[in-house]
Amino acid sequence: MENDTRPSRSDVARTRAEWRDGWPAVLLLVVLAVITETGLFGADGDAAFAWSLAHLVPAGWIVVAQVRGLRRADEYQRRSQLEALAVGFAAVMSALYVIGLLQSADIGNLRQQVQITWIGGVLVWLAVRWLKTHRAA
Amino acid sequence: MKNRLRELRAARRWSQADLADRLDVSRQTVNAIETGRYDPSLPLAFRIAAVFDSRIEELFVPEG
Repeated sequence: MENDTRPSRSDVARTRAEWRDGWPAVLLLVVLAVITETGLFGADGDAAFAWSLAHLVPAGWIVVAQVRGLRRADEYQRRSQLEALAVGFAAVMSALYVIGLLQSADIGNLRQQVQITWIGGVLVWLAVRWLKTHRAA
Repeated sequence: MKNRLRELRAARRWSQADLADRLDVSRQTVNAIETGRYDPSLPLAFRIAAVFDSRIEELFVPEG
């Protein structure tokens, strides 16, 4: 009983809500990335601008989902999440700096680098958050 | 800050999840408090004290 590591009811409710909120946006982001990278549906032609702007939908969705997750979290988890957010922010800042240097030297594709930075930043945030909140498991 | 959460919880034969359910927090939060990695806010400390029918100063002791 004492060593029971089952999650609490609030853990279960929060996890379900996060999946419900976040993963459709991640899936949409992946689909859009595939479309723009492969040039489907005119993504490398006349509709390139529209397809590029379409990325703002899942990006905004992910931000909203994370904010909702923060508001649902209890005080310890919220602190852990904000610390993870700080690490993710530092990762994005560093990546943007590298992108700027690469672009000034005409190296690489800007759109791909921005996508990698965005997705990488979110993944770093999620990974650090997972590590911090599950360290006690 | 030292605390007696683990001791009092064990005396009641509650799991960390049981206590977390009573406090409406995550199990990780209970674990973090028990292991001294996190000091709860005053409102949460009052909730913990209420769950154990104790006073805050009986549960939490300053270190040193």
